[in-house]
Amino acid sequence: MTVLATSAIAQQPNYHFFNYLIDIQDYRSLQIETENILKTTTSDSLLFYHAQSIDFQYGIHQASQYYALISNRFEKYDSLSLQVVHRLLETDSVHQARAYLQTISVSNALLPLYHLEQSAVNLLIKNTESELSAADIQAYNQLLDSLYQNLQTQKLRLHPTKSVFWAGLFSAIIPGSGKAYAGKPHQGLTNLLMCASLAAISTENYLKRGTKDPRTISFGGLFALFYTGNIYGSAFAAQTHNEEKKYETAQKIRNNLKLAFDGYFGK
Amino acid sequence: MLLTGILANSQNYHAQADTLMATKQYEQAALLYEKAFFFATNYHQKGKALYGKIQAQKNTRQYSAIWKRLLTISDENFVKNTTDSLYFEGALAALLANEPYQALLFIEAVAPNINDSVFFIKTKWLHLLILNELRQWEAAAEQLQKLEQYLPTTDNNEQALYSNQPHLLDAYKARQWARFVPGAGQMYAHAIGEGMVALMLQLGAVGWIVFEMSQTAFITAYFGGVPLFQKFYTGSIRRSAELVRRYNTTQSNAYNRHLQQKLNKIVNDQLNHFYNKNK
Repeated sequence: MTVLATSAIAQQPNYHFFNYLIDIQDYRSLQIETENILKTTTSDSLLFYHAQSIDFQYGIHQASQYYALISNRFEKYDSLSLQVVHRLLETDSVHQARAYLQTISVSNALLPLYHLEQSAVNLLIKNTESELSAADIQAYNQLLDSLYQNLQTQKLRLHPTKSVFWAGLFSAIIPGSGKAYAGKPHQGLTNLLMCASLAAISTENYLKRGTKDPRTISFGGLFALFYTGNIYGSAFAAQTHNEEKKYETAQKIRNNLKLAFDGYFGK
Repeated sequence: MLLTGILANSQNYHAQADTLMATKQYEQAALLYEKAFFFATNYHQKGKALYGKIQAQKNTRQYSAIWKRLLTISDENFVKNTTDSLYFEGALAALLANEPYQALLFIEAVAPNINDSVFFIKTKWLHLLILNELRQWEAAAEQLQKLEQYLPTTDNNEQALYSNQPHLLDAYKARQWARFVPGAGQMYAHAIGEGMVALMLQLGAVGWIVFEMSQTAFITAYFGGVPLFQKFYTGSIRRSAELVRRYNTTQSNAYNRHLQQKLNKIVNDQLNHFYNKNK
């Protein structure tokens, strides 16, 4: 009788104890405790604490599947769901965020945030998989204007992509110019000077010592290596430039979302 | 309600946790000890529960969790002996978690006037290990002197323990040597061969510059020789400092291993001496 009663009491969630475990940052114990109780009973609050214990230990990526189990009857359901999507986007789990967003519904008060998240998810996926068009960017900026005029949000800009082919070709004609085209003028200048120095050394050795001298061959070889390397480097720089601009756009989208969240829930 | 009040109490959880410890279910036991702590009505129960949790977490090697948990007990009014035991465990856990500075804070928080001789010896032993890890051998030698009064069979071996400390090198000096004499930085860090190679490379680069200039190949000398010399020269300075760091780490680790073996033997002998005397 006593054993039965003890085990029944042990299975009751004690939320003061849960909060205490969070206070002392013993998330592993919180996870075990909530797991033990979830074997016999379930509730949204219990699932919430369980998800929190996973979240604090392993991050939102692992915890989102537990947050997804919480029903919309939970007191903080819609704000919590939007926060989960927001944090998934911050950790670059875009597809997981989209899947999560499709399962939730929010109150009217949070609809602007919901729309902004929806727009952010779509843009981030398109930004990763292909290119954002001028129409996409205009639509997003209009949404920002209509919802968050008072916030200092960052408008998106259309960045023309740099051609890998043209970057390589420019560097083949004038060493370093491809890098300058790819948005790295200082590196371009350095490469130009290096190429010019090696060319000058090779020429000097050729003029003073002839073609067959090992120094002429060595410096000529070095120049050839550097010259071709520079062409490859410029093409690579153009590719990197495009990726950087994509990253910059993604960061702006995430920052705008963060501003909107901070504005609504406080920092 | 009454039943709940009776059953959801600290002693009940403590008993369950002890059972789980006996069956090696350490994580579940740690949770129940924490529950026992939470529901405890006095500091005696709290101290016992926390000590139990530490033992459970030691079995799962959660050393960081132990010392971080113990950082939160400063507001608790435990009795002095309990606080000392907990801080001792905190220091041990922090040392095992490779946080010697944190370990030092814990061990220095243990009250200096300990009545229990065995606990005093253990505390000093841990204090010595922490100071050794921090390369504070002078301070460790002072602590050893305090410990010696509790070692009735002391011979002079203990006093000699810290007499042959390793001579650690100065990275600044190594860099200065490398700046003014090519290769001397590496030689200062006891890497003679590497120092010779650095010297040859830098002299070779200078020789090449001079040779090219004598051949009136100024462009080759300036754009070929100078950057090569600069790379060897600056690289040699950086390398000297790195070699000093490695040398110091190797020497300190070897010395600390030697100290640890000696200290463990001294302390174990003395603890056995106490236990045998009390039998």
